[in-house]
Amino acid sequence: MTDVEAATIGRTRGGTAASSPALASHFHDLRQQHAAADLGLWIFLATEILFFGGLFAAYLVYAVLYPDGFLEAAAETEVVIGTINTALLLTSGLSAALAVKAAGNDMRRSVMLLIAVTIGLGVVFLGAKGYEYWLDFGHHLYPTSPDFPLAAPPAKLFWSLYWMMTGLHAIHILVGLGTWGVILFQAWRRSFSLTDNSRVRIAGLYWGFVDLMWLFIWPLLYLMGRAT
Amino acid sequence: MSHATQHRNDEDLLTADVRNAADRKALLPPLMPELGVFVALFALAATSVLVAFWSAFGGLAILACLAIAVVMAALVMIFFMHLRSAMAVMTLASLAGVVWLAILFGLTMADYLTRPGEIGSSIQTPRQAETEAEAAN
Repeated sequence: MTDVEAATIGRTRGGTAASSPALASHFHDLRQQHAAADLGLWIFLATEILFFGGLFAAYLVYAVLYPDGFLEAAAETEVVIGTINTALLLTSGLSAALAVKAAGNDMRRSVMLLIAVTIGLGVVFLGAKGYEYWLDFGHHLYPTSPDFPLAAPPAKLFWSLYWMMTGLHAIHILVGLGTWGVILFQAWRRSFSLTDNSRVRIAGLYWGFVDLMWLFIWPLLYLMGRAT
Repeated sequence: MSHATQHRNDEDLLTADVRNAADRKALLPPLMPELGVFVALFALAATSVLVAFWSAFGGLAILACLAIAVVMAALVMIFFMHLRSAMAVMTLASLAGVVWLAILFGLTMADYLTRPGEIGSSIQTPRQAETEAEAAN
């Protein structure tokens, strides 16, 4: 039996999968292929949670050690821009989730539109973030500044964490935008069949994760210390 | 996977094949339940802002905000990241990260919170403090 014949028999066992050119030869059927891609990305996301987790743990330790310094320092962040960015990310989370749904329904036009909306919102997020960084620089709110405006030494710890956490998150947004960009281009070129929409779904999972991290960065860096 | 599920899936794929072309050219897929979840997320975010600025809570407002963030994160994972319809193994993988995070936080705080004296007043380990106390005697 030749390899081709073996592969054909293998595929025939997968039912309709036999008719799908999107099925890779080492999978039994499309459902298994989708599950493999999803599981791989979820495992990757578990490592990403711990990547961010180191910074969250540092924040936890210093916030417990120096609560007053952290409350004072956190009140200096740009809460309006931070909150607008939360709204932008939640909206892009919706458009990304709908893009994944549309891909499952084989709606190429809709997938392209929704990915474009997601990219647009992500770019606006980064723009707002850049403007915020520019304002922070103007206020000398970086730990090495000779004119750092806050007296309490722990305030510098907070602002170190601010730059690290928002910076790492912004890098993740950039990676997400790049991924969406490539998929949008491929969808436009019709270089993949939506019958295998794995790439749209794993990009959606990654974007969901970027959303998740912001949901915790936002209260810790922006909502902290407002009531005092 | 059972044969019944397999059969159902095949039927789903076939239905997708014969779905009429106009349907596939629609601009948006069915909006529910994602749109409803989105509205709930916005409401929770607004609540979080109100809580943060409400002076009654003082410095502890952040704990309430984080509790709201946990609910929002759960909604995002279940609906926007499709855990609702995912296989159990995906949910396990997603929870694995959270479990390890809990271990990271737990062991770190087990150290800092058990050092001698007021929190933050000392970087001594309990053993160091003991030795020094003995030396002083």
